[in-house]
Amino acid sequence: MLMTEPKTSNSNIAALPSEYSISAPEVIFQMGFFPVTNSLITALLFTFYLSIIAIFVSNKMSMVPGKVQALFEIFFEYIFNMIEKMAAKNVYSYFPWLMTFVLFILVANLSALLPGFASIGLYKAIEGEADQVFIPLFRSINSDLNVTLALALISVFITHFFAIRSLGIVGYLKKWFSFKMFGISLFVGLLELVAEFTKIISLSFRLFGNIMAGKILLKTAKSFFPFIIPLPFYFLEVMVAFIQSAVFMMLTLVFMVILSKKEED
Amino acid sequence: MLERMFSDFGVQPILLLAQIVNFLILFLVLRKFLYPPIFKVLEARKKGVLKSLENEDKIEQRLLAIENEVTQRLSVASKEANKIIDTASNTADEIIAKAHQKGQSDIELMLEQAQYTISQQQEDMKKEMSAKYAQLVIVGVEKVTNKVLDTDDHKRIIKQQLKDLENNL
Repeated sequence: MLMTEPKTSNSNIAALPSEYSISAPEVIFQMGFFPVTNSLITALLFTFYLSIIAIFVSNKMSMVPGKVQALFEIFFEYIFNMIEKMAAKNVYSYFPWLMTFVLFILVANLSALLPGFASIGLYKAIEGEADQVFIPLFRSINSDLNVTLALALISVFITHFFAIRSLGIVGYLKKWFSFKMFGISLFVGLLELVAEFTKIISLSFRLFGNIMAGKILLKTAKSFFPFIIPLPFYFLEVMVAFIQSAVFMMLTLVFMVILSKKEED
Repeated sequence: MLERMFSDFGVQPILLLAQIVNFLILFLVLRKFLYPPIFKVLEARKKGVLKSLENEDKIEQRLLAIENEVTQRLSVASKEANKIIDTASNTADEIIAKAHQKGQSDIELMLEQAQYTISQQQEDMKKEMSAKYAQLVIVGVEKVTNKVLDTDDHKRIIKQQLKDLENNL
């Protein structure tokens, strides 16, 4: 049954959305072996409406822009110029990936701050819990490690893909396995190869940690007093939403540029 | 440990895969529908701006050429105007000089005419005076002598008196 989150804990149904699972996504229903979580529903929803917007915008594009198109163009041009400064001729290859990261992360972070986002859900009996618990239907997707890990894996994978395309397979392997300086380079290369795996952890946990921290911060502020007190934190979270999307995009861009750069002899 | 961590954070390979696929679908849709038209518009606008800048350069060059032409033409016109003014000035000087000369010659002519008229009038007056004087002398002589003088006497007396008058004048 779809319900809104109760205000008091006196209800016979326990209001424990955060206690049920603060760091893991909640399973809404099961499709055979496939667990459909609230973050997956939210991610699919974002993909759907971003796709709709994309198709709508592509049909409405004109040389004399309206207000919405002008806003889009300013945003796109800003990101494009930023990437072009670092990636030069590779800008057309990098831009679609990086822009998709920015749009996906930004829309997800900002949408999570909308009223009703975490308060619309259903009550479900959980194993080990005496009462039913409230499970929100939507979840801030970047507070799910599955999402941030997926983004980080894609980021690192495409970084290496562009490096191989730019350097060739031999040039790419030379980055890691080189016998210069009596094998010291090989050691350094192997260390750097290990560092590539830390990129996945760094990218995923940075985004996850920031958004999760914001979520907990807002919940704590709301638990003290639901009005006015959370407001400054909302502003903070809006900033965090922009900053985190920019950080993820910039780090991916830097990794791409560094890895695609030819080794100097 | 890794398994425990993933379990705590709800990480499941199937969900991870689902999120990867979801993101890739979004990427493909955006790459197909959103980015190409935006690139196209941005590129067209960039070209438009470059063309405008190029046109601006051309217009500036044309303006500069026109300005030079105007300056040149003005300079030529100024020279021609100066030449015309000089010619006009010279012509005016010549006309003035001619008028002056003509005036001078007219004055001289008028003076000559006046002098001639004066001398003519003087002559006439002299003749009139001489005639009246001769008449008076004859009348006077006739009164003194109580004798009527003939034509020869008249001629002699008039001759004598005129000689005296001429000598006295």
